[in-house]
Amino acid sequence: MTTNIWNAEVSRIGGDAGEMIEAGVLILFGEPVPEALADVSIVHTNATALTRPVQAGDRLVIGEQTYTVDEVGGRANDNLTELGHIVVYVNQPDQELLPGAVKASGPAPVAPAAGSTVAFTEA
Amino acid sequence: MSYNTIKVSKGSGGWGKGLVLTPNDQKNVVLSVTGGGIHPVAAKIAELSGATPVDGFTNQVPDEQVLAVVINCGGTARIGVYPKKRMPTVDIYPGSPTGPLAQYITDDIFVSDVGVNNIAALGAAEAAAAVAADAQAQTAAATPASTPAPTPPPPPQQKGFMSWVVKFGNAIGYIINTLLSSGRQALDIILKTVLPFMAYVGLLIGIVNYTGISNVLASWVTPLASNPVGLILLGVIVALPFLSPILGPGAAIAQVIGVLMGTQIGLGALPVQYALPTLFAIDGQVGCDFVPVGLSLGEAKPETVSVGVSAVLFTRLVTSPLAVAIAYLASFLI
Repeated sequence: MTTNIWNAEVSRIGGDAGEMIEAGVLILFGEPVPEALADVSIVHTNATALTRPVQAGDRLVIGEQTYTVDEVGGRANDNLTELGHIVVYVNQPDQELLPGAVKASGPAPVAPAAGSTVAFTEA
Repeated sequence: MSYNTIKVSKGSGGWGKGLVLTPNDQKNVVLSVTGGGIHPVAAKIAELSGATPVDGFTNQVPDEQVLAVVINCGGTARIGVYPKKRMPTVDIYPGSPTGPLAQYITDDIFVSDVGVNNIAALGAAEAAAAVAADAQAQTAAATPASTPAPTPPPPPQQKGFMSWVVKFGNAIGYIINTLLSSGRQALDIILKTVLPFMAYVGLLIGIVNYTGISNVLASWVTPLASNPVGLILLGVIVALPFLSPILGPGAAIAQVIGVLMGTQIGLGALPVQYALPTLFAIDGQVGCDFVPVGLSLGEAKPETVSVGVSAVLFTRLVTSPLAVAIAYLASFLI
């Protein structure tokens, strides 16, 4: 049984988010979000509170896909709590770890459908 | 509602050459995209410029009304999205161009590591100069922007040797930019602070020498120097806030009385204990002409300068005679 650390429901996908997702960058934002940011983001709603900070080794589930969290930036948990905002760099181990970002590995990312679940779970 | 031009500078770990912002009736919203309401930096920008701070997460504001966007971005989304729309972006964190949108983050539109202390109102003359420079930059920028260019895709992630070359190039660019901007700042200080100060001191010395006011004063106050109470009074006189800036340049009183007392002490006409209190009594005005320049050299804000000058001049009025008294008492220990 996997324990949820945090979960939310995808409400919409921004118009430019597809490009970002193809480049391996998933930007999550919770509602309400300014339109400019929603354009590049996977916007979610009904987020639960974090039960504990996300850390390396946790799983990230977006729609059908599951990723393993490799590294967590210094501000990522704060952003997730305050704004439901986190940036996930998928399969880019060479990328410099930015404070607000999380590096993860797993399948090539695809845009999730609206209504699907996005969650961080304990491994 | 009146609007003011303000300058937002980068913090110590920041990036960007700073933004000059002027609100108008169409563009008067400071959008705080920081979460948790209006960030103090957004509030300060709004307060100084006369614009309205708005929480970007709970309100939708049309882009064309936005004067500046304040973000606390740790890396990817907000740091790129707003510069991409060519909206002036102020980052609370020390970010620099990174992430898939890095190409949009340019130093004319983005500044980072900004604290409340990095925001200042510009004086009218500075504002006019900055706006003129800005207008030029905008016409230059507007020409390519007006052609409907397709949005370039995010640059591919480079690996290995190429990424090393890019990093190396960035580092060199950073060093050259730093040197260039320090040169620019040095010239700026010379032109705007040091040269005007020299002109101002030149004028004061001219007035003092031509009118002989300092020598006249020196001959008036010379009799005071022969007794301790007179020395304290002399200390008060030279430190009078309206006299000290005039007595500073040229140092006539210090020279006239200093030479006189030195000769008297050398002849044995006055006890040697007078030397120390006299030194303090005739030097109470030293530096009083330099205060405004010293403050601007220390990058003090205009308000600090206007308060600081009178503060220093008036404290001199207290410390100068006090120093004489202490020196007088101390000279008994010799």
